[in-house]
Amino acid sequence: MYINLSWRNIWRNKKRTLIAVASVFFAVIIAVSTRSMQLGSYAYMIKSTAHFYTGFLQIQQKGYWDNQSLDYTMDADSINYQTVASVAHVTAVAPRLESFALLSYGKTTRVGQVIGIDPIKENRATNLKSRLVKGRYLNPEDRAVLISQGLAKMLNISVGDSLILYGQAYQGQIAAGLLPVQGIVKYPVSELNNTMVYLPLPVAQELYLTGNRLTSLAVMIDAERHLDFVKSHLTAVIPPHYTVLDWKAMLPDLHESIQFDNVSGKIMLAILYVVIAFGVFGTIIMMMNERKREFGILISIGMKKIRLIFVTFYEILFISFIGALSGILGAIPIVWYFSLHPIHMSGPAAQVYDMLGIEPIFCFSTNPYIFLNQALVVFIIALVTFAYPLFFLRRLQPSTAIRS
Amino acid sequence: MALIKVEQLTKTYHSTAVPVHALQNVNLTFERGEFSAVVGPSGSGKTTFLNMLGGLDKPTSGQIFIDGRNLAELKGSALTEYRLHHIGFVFQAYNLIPVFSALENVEFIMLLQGVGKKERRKRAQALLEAVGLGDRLHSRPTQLSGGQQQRVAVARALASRPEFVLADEPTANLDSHSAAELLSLMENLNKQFNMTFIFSTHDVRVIQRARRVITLHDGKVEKDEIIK
Amino acid sequence: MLVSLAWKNIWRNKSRSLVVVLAIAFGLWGGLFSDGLMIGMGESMVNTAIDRDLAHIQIHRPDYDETKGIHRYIPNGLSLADSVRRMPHVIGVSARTRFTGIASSATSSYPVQITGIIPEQEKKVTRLYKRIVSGTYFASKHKNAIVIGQKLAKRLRLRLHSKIVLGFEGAHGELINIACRVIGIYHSGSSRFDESNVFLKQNYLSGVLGGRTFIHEIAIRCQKSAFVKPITAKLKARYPKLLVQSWQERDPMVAFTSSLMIEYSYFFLVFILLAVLFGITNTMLMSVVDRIRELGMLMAIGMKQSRIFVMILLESMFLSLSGGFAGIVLGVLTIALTKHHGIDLSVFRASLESFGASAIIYPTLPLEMYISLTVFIVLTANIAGILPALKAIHLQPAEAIRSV
Repeated sequence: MYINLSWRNIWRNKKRTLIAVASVFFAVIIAVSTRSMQLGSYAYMIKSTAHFYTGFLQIQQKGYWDNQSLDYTMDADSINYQTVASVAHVTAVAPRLESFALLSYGKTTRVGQVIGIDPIKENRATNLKSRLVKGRYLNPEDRAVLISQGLAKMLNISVGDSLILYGQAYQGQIAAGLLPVQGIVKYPVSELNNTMVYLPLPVAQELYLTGNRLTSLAVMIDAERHLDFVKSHLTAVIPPHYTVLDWKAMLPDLHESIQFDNVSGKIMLAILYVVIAFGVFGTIIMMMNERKREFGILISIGMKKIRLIFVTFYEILFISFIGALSGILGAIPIVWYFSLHPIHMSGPAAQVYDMLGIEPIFCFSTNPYIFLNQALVVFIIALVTFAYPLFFLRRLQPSTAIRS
Repeated sequence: MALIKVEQLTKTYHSTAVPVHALQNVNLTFERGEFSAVVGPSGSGKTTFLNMLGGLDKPTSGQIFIDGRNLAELKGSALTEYRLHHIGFVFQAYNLIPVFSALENVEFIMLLQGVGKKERRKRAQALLEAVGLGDRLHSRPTQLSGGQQQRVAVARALASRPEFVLADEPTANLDSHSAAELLSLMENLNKQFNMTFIFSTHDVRVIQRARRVITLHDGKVEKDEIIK
Repeated sequence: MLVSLAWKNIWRNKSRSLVVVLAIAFGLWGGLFSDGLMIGMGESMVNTAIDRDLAHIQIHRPDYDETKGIHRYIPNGLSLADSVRRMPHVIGVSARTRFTGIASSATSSYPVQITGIIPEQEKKVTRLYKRIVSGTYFASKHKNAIVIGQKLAKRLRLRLHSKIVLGFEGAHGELINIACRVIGIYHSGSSRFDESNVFLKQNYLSGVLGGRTFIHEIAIRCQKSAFVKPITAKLKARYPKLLVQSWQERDPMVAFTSSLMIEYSYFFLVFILLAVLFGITNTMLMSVVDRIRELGMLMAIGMKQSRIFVMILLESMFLSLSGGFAGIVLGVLTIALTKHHGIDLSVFRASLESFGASAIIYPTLPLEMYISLTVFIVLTANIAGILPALKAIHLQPAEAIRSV
């Protein structure tokens, strides 16, 4: 019955209640939409960077990452590929030998990143084959390269032409080779599109004189949230002088940028919420003062104060939750639509992101946690604003209240 | 010519299921300088009648002529303008703007009329002195007693130099001493300036002082007596 | 007098008005300070880029950027640089030899941009010389002295006096390798820049390239940023066959990102004002309802509806401007206080530096923003006041009075 009373009470002044509800609705819908966009974009950035390049995790020799030198390579036979691949949540494992080289064709020389891959395993891990725009994909026995589109353009080289590779090989020797271009791959991020060259692992190992060695094993997992689990399990199955790095360690810039954006986003939402909280607070103050006389009468005729406190608490909860619920319901179609149709940036904004090495699209996350989180925030606001009526009602003297 | 002429004034309220006949075919005239009271039990229609006279409400049928002018011809902001310049009001309560001082309250109505600053101040001061509040010019309504507040209201009503003043239960909230003071004041102003006062009241003290008493019953004029 | 009435009316219910004023003040303060940080970040990016390497104006051969090859040099580059040096308001000109290559050490290699400079000239154009963390900026007798970035040093495991080998394409398409001695290590704040930019003495480089000095890039520093536009225009007219670019044209991303910050700042403020709108509307609405009899009385004695409408709007404006003023004062104070020492965001150092900003941000807010904000506040106040004002004038005086 008290809930019934609370519910009817808030509708005594329709306009005022609706405005307070509307303010919460506004805050929640903005909050849910922007958080969904932020978190969705982070997840996408991590996933795509992992897919395009680093993988979620990499197994490397200790010291390789800091030095980036071929001297810190792993013996390909020292790791049981099957064992690694069978760790829970691992979806693919790709062995690699990476280095740099000067790439020459005709009169042009550019610097590029050379990656020796197992074409089948690499495709399973990063879908490299799907990025082919010209020519043929690599087979393990091929003695040819795949080159990224931007690089091909800069060198003015096409399928069938032969590319000169020149660089530093294992233990200070010279790496030099001439290989035909078999295919061209395209990346949506220029940094990758302008630098990548892929060749089969044995050919790379021959070029760099490493023998059957690898610089890394890239590991893909099914979802970001299993990262730590997989990391610890992988660490358990590899030889002690090897280490497992996650994308956060390999891409600290990306990691921190995400954190930075996350924190600033939260702060801005916090400011917004505080303003709304003030609004709700003000509404509550008005409601309390308006009904001072009524409260006095109710207490005089025998209603216990604690009951009144409950009634007002329910009223606050109702106002906050109608606002929060409608905000969440309002945000659902927005989030749902954009999660299926991510926003593609264009123009200079897109270029800024591309420059930072991020694909210029905004993805939306449909993680229910986002919605629940906002509901929680609103609940906290409700609790905080409840402090006033609590204080007010405790101090209320029925006799003076009636006379007002 | 009569100051106010009321012909066949009728007002019916349809807000409830059963229509309320607040006024039924009332015919009256008022002359300048009257000090008259419209009396009757609650529900007799006296407040409705005063609202009609003041242009605050529209009759269902019938006409009101003020100084020969048919009130029905005026609409919207024109009617408001007319009230501003021609009719003075003293209500039972809530006459004054609480955030303004007594002086400012009296000045305010002249501001609305477009009277210049110096002139406003001069007249307001004079009027407040005339009602005996020359020493409380800068007091806010909360700092004045009920009777004093009503006196400021009278000063304000006069400040607009109206044709007549309508007072709806002006003494209802006052104790006998303040009520008597207020009435004496209004009587003096009536005699001094020949200002017409029309009251709606059931306060015996007012009825005693009135020179004409019109009794309404169920929306009709039951009696119309000239006392003095 | 109407103005005075409106002002006094606001303070009739002190606690109610105070809540809204505080809400506005807090919201604006938070918004202005966050915006100050954002814009400070944008400015930091611009200044950092200019000081690091971008300078105010750059001149290239129009086809240089395609390949950044050694053959795309500016004809008569040195004399051109000299004549630019003589221009008024130009305080420094550096004629750079600049092309790509690979840097190698005993342990590994990495692609770099090789720049040959005259240190004394370069010092007048950029501030990189101030960022030396180890060694000197060319205070060395070694002809093959080289200054490298800290990130590259780490990567190639180099220290002061280490040997580093540069490989690049020569004037006749041949591959050249030169050994240089590391005499200085810098930390510019952009790890990306640090790991891919090495600086040599120009005359040594010219010697290696067969005795010719190739000038690929002319970097110019103006006395003040105000001079950049006019001097760029003059240079464009003087050298129509060359690509003359102001720093905004050369690195539109930096300029754009900086202006993006300003846009975001405005957006955030608008959001806060929208949040605040609800609070104002509700407060004004309640204020009108409280005064229903008084408003009826005013209409009765002859106050026109239009005047009452204006009065309510004025009240709304006063309320909003009170909060607005407080918020702006707080914002100005906090920004002024933190402007000189900056805010230390080293927690996010890596991410900030990856954007091109520094770890210490100096909050700043352009004057126009305060002016725009005030306009927005007035607008918000008026929109918020419409509903309550309408309610006020739609009262029937007779009914309002009858509420007695």
